[in-house]
Formats: sequence, structure tokens, C-alpha cells
Amino acid sequence: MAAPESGDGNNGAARMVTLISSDNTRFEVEAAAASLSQTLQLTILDGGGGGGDGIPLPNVDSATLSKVLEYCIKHAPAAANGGAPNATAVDRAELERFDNEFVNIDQSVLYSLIMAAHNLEIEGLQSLVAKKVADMIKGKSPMEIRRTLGFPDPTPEEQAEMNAHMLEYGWAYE
Amino acid sequence: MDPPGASRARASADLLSELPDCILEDVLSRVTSRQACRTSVLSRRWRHVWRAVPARCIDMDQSEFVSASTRTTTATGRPDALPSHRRGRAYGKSRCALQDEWSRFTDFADHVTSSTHASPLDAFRLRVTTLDTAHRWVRRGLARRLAAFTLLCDGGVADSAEPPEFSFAHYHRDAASRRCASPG
Repeated sequence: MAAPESGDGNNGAARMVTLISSDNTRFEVEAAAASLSQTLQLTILDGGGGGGDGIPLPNVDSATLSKVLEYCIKHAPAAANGGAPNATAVDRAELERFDNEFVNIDQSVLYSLIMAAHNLEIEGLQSLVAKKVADMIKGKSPMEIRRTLGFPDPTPEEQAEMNAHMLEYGWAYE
Repeated sequence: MDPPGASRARASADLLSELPDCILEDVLSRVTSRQACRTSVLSRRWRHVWRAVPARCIDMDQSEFVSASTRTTTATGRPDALPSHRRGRAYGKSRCALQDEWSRFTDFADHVTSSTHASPLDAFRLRVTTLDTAHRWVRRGLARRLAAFTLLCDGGVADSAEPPEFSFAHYHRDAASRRCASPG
């Protein structure tokens, strides 16, 4: 990741880039924040996204993108410090607090977010959301998972298949 | 009849199920192997997703196989330092139950570690009450160029007040995190 001081002609104000969501909303953000995305980082290093151009993101809608950028903006300073060896405990605690709040959202938003994080290759965000979804599964029986995640009731045919499966894998169900 | 919000939650589950396998595998690699396996009955979509998880991450905890009834038996007795397959002799009453649990666990561990995968493992975590049989699983895990290995050998009863009888081994190699290939 380019350090802020490495100065490829951007003395003074931080370099900004424009991202365009699938529904054609333009978002202007600091290049350092957008570069948390491995996918965008290459384009940005090549000088893309500046001026009137903007980088189109046909897979990400504006609601999801604004959430993604909220994460990137918050995490950009720590990422710029290369994992932040000099971050204070207070900074780290603040990021953790932010992360916890950040994923305290509707399941459908979580799923859009994890998909966007995957497409944009934002590793921290992907593992944050994956961990949140895993927590919704942890310690629950299949029936409880169904209820928590809102699975539709299985069709009789599906149920029969599952019963056969449970016989085969009896050790997993007691 | 449905509680309010049920239809919304229903839509969410469909959205979750629509995510590509590699994301669901990422989620399942963050729960224990047994739990990952249990998601296979959620729906047809989930039937086989978990199978790919032991290729990258194995997390087996013997205490997950301790049922409430035998847990009470051992908790009211001396917190047991005996390996569970020998423990049966000390507690004649629950001998069958303990042996059942033990064999369910070994079946599971054999199944998960003997999968045909030879790929490098991101993580291998094993929590057991005895190392007797564990050697076999550890050997299989170590053969797969582990990124992180955790072995915990203790009384095995999750809520036991006894300190672990065996210390804790942890090994970590700096692993460039591996990503799954993007679909399409």
C-alpha cells in the first residue's frame, strides 16, 4: 500500500478518487480509503478514478457502497500504518467498537456487504462480516439456525433427503 | 401465524444461500467442524457446502460430544483426569454412554481428518481429553503444511473447574491468506 508521504505528485491535499455504484451514484473518497480494496488499489495506482472519470462498480449498489466506504474510511489510517504497530490501545479499542457496531445490522445488508467485500477484495471487511454470520450459527442446533436465519420450511421431499442424510452422519447429531 | 418480520427474514436466508460457495465456506471455517457439518441439513443448497471446509480448516472439540447427562455424572464426581475411554470403568453406570460419546467423537475426527484433501490447512484445532488416539489426527494434520496448529488437552468437560492437566501447544506460521477464486 502506498504510504501517504510517498508523494506521487499529491503534495498537500489527499488524493481523491470517484467510485460509481451500479445505480450511478458517484462517491468521492480519499484514494487511501478506496485502496483498502485490492481490486481498486491497482486501478488507483495506475492513476485511475481521478478527475471526471470515476471507477464504475457494476456489482455494488449505492446503499452497499456507502456502507463499504464507511468501513474503509474508518480503517484507512490504521491500514496506512501497515497494520498499525504504533497504534495505541485506545485506537485499537475504538476500531473494535466501530466494527462491532458496524455489523449490528439487518441480515440482508450483511449479505450484500460480504458479497461486495469479496468482489472488491477488502479482506478485513470480509472476515468481519463472515465472523458475524458465523456467530449467528455458533452453538445452535440446525432447527435453531433455521429459525435465526429464517430458512423456509423444507418440502416433504427435502425433509426425507435430510433424514436420510442425518442417518448417514449420525455422529454429528448425537 | 408468522411472527412479524418473518417474511423479511425468509428473504434474508435466501440471500445467504445465494452467496457463492467460497463465501459460505469462509463462514463455516469460523465455526467448529461439527457445527459446519450440521449445516448440511439446512437445505439442499447447504448439503455439500461444509464438505470443502476440512480442506482448509479443522476444528474439533471433544467436549461438543459430551451430552448433558454424562456431563452431570462427571461433574458430580471428581472432575475426571482419566481418559474418557477408561473413565467408563470408574463410573460403571455411565460407561456405555461415555463409550458412545467417545466413539462418536473418534468417528467424527477420523472422518474429518481422513478426507481426501491433501491441501495445506489454514488452521487445525483439536481439543481432547486424551492424547492416546489424538496422535493419529495430529499426524494427519501435520502432514498438510499447517498454517496454525492448536492442541488443547484437558479434562474435557467444558465447565470443569480443574485447570488443564496438559499445557497448550500453539504453532503459527505467517500465512499469506489464501483467497478463493472469484466466481465467474
